[in-house]
Amino acid sequence: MTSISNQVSARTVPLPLMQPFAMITFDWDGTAVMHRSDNAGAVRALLERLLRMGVFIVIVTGTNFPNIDHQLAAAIRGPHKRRLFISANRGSEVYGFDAASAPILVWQRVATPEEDRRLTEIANAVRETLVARTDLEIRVIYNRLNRRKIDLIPLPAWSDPPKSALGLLLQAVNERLRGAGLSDGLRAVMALTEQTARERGLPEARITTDVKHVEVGLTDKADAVAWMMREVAHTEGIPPGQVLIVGDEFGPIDGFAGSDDKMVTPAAQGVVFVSVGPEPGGVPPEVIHLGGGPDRFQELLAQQVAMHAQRARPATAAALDLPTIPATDRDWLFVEEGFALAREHEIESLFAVANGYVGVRGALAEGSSLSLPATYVAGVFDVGTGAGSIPALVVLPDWAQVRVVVDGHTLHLEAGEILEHRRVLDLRRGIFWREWRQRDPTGRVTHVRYLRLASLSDRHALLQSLTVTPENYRGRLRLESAIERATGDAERAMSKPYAPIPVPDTPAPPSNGSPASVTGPLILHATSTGVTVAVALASAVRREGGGVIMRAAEDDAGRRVEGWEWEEEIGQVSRLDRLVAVHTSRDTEQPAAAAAAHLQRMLHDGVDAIRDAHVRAWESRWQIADIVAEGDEETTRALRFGIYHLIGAANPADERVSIGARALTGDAYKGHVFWDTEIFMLPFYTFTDPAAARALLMYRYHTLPAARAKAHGLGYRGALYAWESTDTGEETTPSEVTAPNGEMVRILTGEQEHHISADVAYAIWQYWQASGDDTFFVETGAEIVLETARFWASRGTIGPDGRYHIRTVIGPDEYHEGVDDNAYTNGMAQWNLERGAETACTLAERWPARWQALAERLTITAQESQEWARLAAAMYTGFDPHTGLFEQFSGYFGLEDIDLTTYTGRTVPMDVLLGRERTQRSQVVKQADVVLLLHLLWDRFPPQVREENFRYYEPRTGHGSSLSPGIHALVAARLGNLPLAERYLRQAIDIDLANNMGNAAGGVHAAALGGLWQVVVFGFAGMRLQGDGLAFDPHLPQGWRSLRFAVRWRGSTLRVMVRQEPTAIEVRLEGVDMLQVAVAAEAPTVLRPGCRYTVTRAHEQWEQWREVPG
Amino acid sequence: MMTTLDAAQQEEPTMHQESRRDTSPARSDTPQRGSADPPIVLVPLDGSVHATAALPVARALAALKHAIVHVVNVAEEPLSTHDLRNLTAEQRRGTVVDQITGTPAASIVRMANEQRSVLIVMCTHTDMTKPRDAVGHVAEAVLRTAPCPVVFVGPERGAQPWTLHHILLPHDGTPTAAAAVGPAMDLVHQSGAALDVLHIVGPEAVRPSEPGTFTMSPYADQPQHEWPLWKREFLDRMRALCPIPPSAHIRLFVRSGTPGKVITRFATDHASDLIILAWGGSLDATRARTFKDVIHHSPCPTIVLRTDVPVRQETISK
Repeated sequence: MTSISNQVSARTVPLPLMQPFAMITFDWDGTAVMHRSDNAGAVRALLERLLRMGVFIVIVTGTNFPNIDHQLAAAIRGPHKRRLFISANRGSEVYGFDAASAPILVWQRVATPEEDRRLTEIANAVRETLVARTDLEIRVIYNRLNRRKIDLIPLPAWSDPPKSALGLLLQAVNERLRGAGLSDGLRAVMALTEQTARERGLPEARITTDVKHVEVGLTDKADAVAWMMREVAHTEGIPPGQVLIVGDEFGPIDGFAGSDDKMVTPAAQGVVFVSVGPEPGGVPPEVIHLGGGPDRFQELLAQQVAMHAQRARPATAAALDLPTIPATDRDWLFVEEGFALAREHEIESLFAVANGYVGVRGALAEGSSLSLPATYVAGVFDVGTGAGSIPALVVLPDWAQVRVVVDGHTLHLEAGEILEHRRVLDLRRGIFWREWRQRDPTGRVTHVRYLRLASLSDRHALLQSLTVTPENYRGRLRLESAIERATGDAERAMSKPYAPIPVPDTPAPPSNGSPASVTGPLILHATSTGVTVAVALASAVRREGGGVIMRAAEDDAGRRVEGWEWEEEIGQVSRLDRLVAVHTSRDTEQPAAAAAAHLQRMLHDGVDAIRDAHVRAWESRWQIADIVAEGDEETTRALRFGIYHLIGAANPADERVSIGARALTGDAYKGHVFWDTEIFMLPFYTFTDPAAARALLMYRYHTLPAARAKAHGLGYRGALYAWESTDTGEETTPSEVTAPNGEMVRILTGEQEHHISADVAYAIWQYWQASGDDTFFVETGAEIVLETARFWASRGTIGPDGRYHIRTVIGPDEYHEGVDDNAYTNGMAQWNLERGAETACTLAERWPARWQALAERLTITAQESQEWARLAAAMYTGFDPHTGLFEQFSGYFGLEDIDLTTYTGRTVPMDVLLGRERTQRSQVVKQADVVLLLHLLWDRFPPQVREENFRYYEPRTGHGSSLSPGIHALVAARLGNLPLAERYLRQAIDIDLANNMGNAAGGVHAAALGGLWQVVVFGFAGMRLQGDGLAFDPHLPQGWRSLRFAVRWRGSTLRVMVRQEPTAIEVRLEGVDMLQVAVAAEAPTVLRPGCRYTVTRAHEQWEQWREVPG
Repeated sequence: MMTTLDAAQQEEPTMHQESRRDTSPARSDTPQRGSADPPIVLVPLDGSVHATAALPVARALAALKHAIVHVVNVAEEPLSTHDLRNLTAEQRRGTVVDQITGTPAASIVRMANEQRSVLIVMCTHTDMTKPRDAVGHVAEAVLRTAPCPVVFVGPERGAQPWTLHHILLPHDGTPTAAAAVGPAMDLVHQSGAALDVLHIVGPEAVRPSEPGTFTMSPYADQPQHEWPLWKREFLDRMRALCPIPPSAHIRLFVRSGTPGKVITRFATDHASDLIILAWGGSLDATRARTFKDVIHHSPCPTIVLRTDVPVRQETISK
């Protein structure tokens, strides 16, 4: 039976375990064997293989060395045994083995006679107390090194209980003790022992229990781990990330810490911990819980053997391997395990690779019944032929498509058994990885690994590599790809199919690992917009041992098919590399020639060099862009996920494109550009990549003619930017849509949502302030500020009340159309008019020649700019000084007040629930409107006004837009309402990352991701632009120990760390200029470049900034 | 031992003269049918005229599936040959008539098992003197244990002919509801009927917690883009589950309100001929409210596909 969720259960290995460990440490009883009498032959065989492969093995046990030696070690002989260590007697001693494989004591904790005496005293005292209180038989076992064991149930039935009977044993012990009057049972004995140890002069004694006994001793497993890390890992140069520790009792049992929990110590920081136990009480956060007992442990060892064997293969084979996924980089990896067909569209969006020029969805290379592969080039739009068609981002043919065919059968996730399937987005390096092992219906197991990237160092370059290994068969392999028009809606694909230009193959395999066969550029036309796209690609298949497989290619009407076929041996690796160069007539007059030449350069450089340069570019970008919320790894990873997509969305080298609502990750919104870029995304670029911010704002400059035309067409002056635009800047908002209920709904945003002009001006001003880029402002930005101010001056009218009113608009709250005096619109228009007047003055004062030329060209007079200031002063804002509230628009307060808490748990936007008409008659707000105004113009409002308005509008906001939760988190954080801020932060994160929601199917929500960055920097760190510098007023979530990020400011970089406890801000200024920085409402201080400063808060007061060394 | 009747040629029904009382649920006296045999659509009658409302629907569905309609009269006492002859010609046309005695529901289910029936088509209830629940106790008991989908027909349909032009598939985006997509597509393919997929939202349509659920997003940043996108995604996921014939006419509707009421109102407004319901197996008062509302108030027959236990759908869902 089919279902929407046909999640295939694959027993996959968690990513952190997908590496060959250099040292493996494990508990013996319950982990390696279930019982001391078990035959340990299978474990021994695996351990011997690992020892021979150079792996260090450390066994940690509470029992005596002879027990383990008898069950395991004595049968191991040979030089490899010198890498085996056994830590016995609960961390009191460590045995190694000499050249003759004989045991040698390499370390021992020797108790002093005084310690020995006290241990005995403590055990005796506990026993006596227990006997006195319970009259039970209690025994003490004395002959243990550095410890004494108090046997709480010395009955024949429980003389040697197996681990599997732990639950029953606990029950029996507690019943025995409680039945004798010790109501707290085992817990009471533990407490008694601790107290007695303190009283008898051994406060540091280690009190542990295996349930049958309570033990008091001088060491425990933490000592074993400390010795192991110090004497083996450190001595042998093994980093913690290459150490694996396995146990079965990390989690609590009936409130007591599990025996293996002792191994999770500071000495083992960075080590990978795994539990194979049942762990009914859960495991600590550092531990990966696998379960499965000794069987699973053996599987783990077998996988380690396989991985070490893989690494030890001949150099010729290793040369074909793709780099290892950086499995220990957990905070930088976004991982999707298994395969759920129904989620494919959203997975493709989330795992997209992009570089601002080109974007590639993370579709399965071989496709599935729900695959929507797509490659987009920024700025390449086309218009469908249907009536009412609007421009849409073009989908290029799927260059990444590759099918693996085994003996005539195409390997497919939907046929056979998925043994392992994992997709990994390496956020740090900008690489999309895929690991796939599939058992096909005939039982053949094939292992395929993929790597895909859109180069950040060379934005015209794409790379995909894959390796294929037949694991259990010898057979005929074929790799094939067909490059053809994109499937799906007709308007997704280019208007015309590609026209291949035949180019002879280049059969010689280059020595640097580049693909051998070059395919001529594929020319694609987007006819309606006249853009030509050229794609040149080269592919090669190489085999282990150096052989190259020749390609068979054919061109078929609008379709190019390539295939490589050969007979492959079991366990042999083959590899396909495909390099792609993309150029368009937007960036060169001869895109085909450019693509071909570019590909030649790529071939010359080679795959490894291309990949390395790409990785370096990403690492460089992260130097400024990264944010770390220490203490909250999940949020850190979510922030990095958002930043990853923001980095991939922008191209500093192209100032004629902006970022579509879903960036280059999906078709939704057809690539159209909204206010999202300026208000939600631009701050990230302004403060981390000013060149990208500048390019994005230049798009608004180049589309200024279209904005002027729109204003003119509606009877206004100046520039009114399109609500939705593409490469031309013309209005592309659809005029109607069929609502979910079948009703045809007119779309008025393109006609009435005018605040976008002020939003653009705001972004320009913010960029100018932060970057100090006078050239940009004087030559281009100022013109936009002036033209948008002029628009606002023509947009409203002076009313009988003498106030300036702007009527018939849609504010950010799009539930209410055709409203008068929307608070956000008027507030931003007022700000825009003020900045227009200020710009005229500033230009006249500082750049008179430029002003003269501009004023002449735009026919702006001094009177006109003065009029802007006058209109700004007369602007109706809807502010009521008695209540401190802004009325969101005229008449808003008179609308029905609906209690949104009664709709908690709803599944759909409020306007769908209530219906459009009732929503419009209500106070339900779609998204932050007045609240957004508070954020953008924060310093214009007194604290009381911010509080009052947030308190009023927040509960009335339905968050029917993905832009809303982030802004609410930001403002709540600034107001110090941290629980609410954290709730909204989580909601904002979930927009793209909540599994199964399907929200991201059409692409990631780029603006919401930009909002996430703002939540943290503007919200939790409380950063604001202030005069000629920055101000901070942090409020960190309780779970965050610190927050680290960096911002660019006028050519310098300010590295910021906000600490939670004690609250402090540390900054370091890198660059050449000084920077003025303030904290809260305190007077600013001037930072010198190259210096570190700190300021702390004590008793609710910020102290003075101090320069600190370092 | 069963003969297909052709009313045009033969007025006398062939019948099993041996009547059996259902005392041994595991017993099977009837030879097991092979996979090559034509599939059976089972129609239980209880001697009341109301029960025969199921026959036109059963015949039409059987024709679509190239199946034989097998009428089984279930009563405390077997009908005499005379009584059987008194079945109307319409009731006997093209059918095999069988009769069993004993506990009605258990007998019907046992026969469906023995015959490997692909559908049971029956009246929701026939005792018109009692206050009506969603389904009568026999129908409910059949539904709980049937080895195949059950089609419920309201007695008020009477003998009017039934054809399949419009199918209504309520779909809340859950994997449970998605289980009905395949059978729905088969019926679309077999009948050429149009398929109306109905997704219901509203305060009472709580977001299902079932993993893999796809329902409307609470975010619709720009409805001119979001709504078409959501529609496409919803239908794409359906297509991924089951190939949809290119000629299939599928429409997706979203309505707000109480699901049971919305479904029956929609079926009335859109002249639906058949509602396809995926059912998780519970008739618990709250969890099965939608299910009961639909069965009770449906203006057309309703086919119920169980998703909690495997039921035989091999001839429906290929």
